[in-house]
Amino acid sequence: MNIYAGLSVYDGIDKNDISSSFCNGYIVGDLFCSKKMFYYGEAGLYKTAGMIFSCGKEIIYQSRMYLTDRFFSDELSKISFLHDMFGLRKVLVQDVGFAVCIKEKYPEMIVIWSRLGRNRNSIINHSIPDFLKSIGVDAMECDDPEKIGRIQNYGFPVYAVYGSMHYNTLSRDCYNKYLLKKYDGICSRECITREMSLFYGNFSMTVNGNVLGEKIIYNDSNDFFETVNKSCDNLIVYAGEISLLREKCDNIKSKIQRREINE
Amino acid sequence: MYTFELLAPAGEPEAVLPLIEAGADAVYVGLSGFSSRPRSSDLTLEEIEQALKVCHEHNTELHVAINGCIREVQLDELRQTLVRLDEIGADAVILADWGMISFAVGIMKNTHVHASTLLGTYNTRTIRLLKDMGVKRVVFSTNLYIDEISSIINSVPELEYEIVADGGICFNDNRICELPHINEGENYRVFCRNEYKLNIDGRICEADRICADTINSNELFAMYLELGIYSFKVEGRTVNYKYVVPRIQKMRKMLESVSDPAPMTSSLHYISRLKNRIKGGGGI
Repeated sequence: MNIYAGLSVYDGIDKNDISSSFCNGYIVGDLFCSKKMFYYGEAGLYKTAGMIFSCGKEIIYQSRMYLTDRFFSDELSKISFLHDMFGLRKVLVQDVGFAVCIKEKYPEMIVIWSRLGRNRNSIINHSIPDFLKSIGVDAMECDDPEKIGRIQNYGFPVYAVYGSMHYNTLSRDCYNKYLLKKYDGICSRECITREMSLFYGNFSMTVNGNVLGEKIIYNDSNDFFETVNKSCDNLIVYAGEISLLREKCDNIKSKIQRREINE
Repeated sequence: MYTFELLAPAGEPEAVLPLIEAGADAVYVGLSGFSSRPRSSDLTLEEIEQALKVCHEHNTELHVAINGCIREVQLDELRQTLVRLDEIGADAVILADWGMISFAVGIMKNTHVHASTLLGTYNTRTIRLLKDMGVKRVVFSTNLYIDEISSIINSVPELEYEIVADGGICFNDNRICELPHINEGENYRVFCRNEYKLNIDGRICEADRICADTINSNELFAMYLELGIYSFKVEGRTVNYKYVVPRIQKMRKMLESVSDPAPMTSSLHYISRLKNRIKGGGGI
């Protein structure tokens, strides 16, 4: 089984962390803003990708949400760079047009449909995997054992997720910037340097950049691990930062059966 | 003169005629059992057939929203329903996921397929794919910027484009928002409209609102018309139609007042140049 790690923030990670980790690879690329994930923003993405590659680990690139025409070409360029320089073979997507473009340019690229590639409906029927297959998507991300089984019954491989992001709401614009009225063009990463929350009566939600009420929720049930061990070739572990990732990886070491797979 | 469509929401059969009389060019309804709204604000197939008669007698279109969670076991029933809608002459179905669109375009011969705002289409490549699949109209995501809308319309002018003109226009991503929505009688309370307080490192202060106010600007609608938006959707299927009728009347007056493009205001001039730039007419 391949195990991949995805961090919300890559601050403080070094070559030793990457080399000594039992993960086969790492997911880089923020859904909304590189500056949250990497201290050096976009430059940090390439620096980190280079570090992962030099440690002999795989890179999965997570493409951004809200992939409008403003960003489309640049995002494709990133894929090209990571492919040409660091051997990128897998991309997480949530945009159909982008998935099609990647497959046109790199037919051998493995395109994984992200958990966030959906509308309000989380229940699926066979028409969704059928459509995704028809445009060249190779697999889907999923955190729920029952849905994992269903997707696989539709003949679609699953990248199981341990530590899925849950939230109250999302925006294309940064809530920290908006609520602090900070439009001077300088980002101080208030999303991670300041503790901000909105509250109304008993209802409250943290302010985390483009997300309100962000939480990473771990399914530690036997059901989940049995499903993963029985039928998944790939597992993604998400964590906020490196120390939590180490803890979560220690947690699952004894629960995951590593087996050789051919891909 | 611009041509446009004013699209009104009907949550009950009795709402259809008053909305047409208020000025709607088209009415949209939810299909009971298959829509994302509460069942109480949807119409059964039989009610849709009746509503269709009323609409067509008044030269008005009827669009049917099928944007709820469709389980595997419902697919056969949905197929039969789509065939029936096609037979009775429903003008369009509004669909919110790729699987459903792919499913429906193969079934419907006469009824148009519209891609809902809930699909979340953000770029020209995706819109081209929808066109190739047979979709006739795209309802824009509410968080696209003006130049992005322009880029899409200019690149794929063959499709019709619709915008949510009154209703769920939100700072947040209403496509996958998980904030609670509560039905309170005549009102539909959404948690984005709460007046929140903000806690910054332990200091409490007032917070700016995280919902958007209803768009209420003649100039903005003039811009949308100039860009090439055709349909202006008013949301409110879950609200009593008596509260929707005045909004339709107001929107009708506003659209008619700006549908003559002369004289050109400064914002229309900018939009014209934006359109020309996409067509290769030079920079801004």
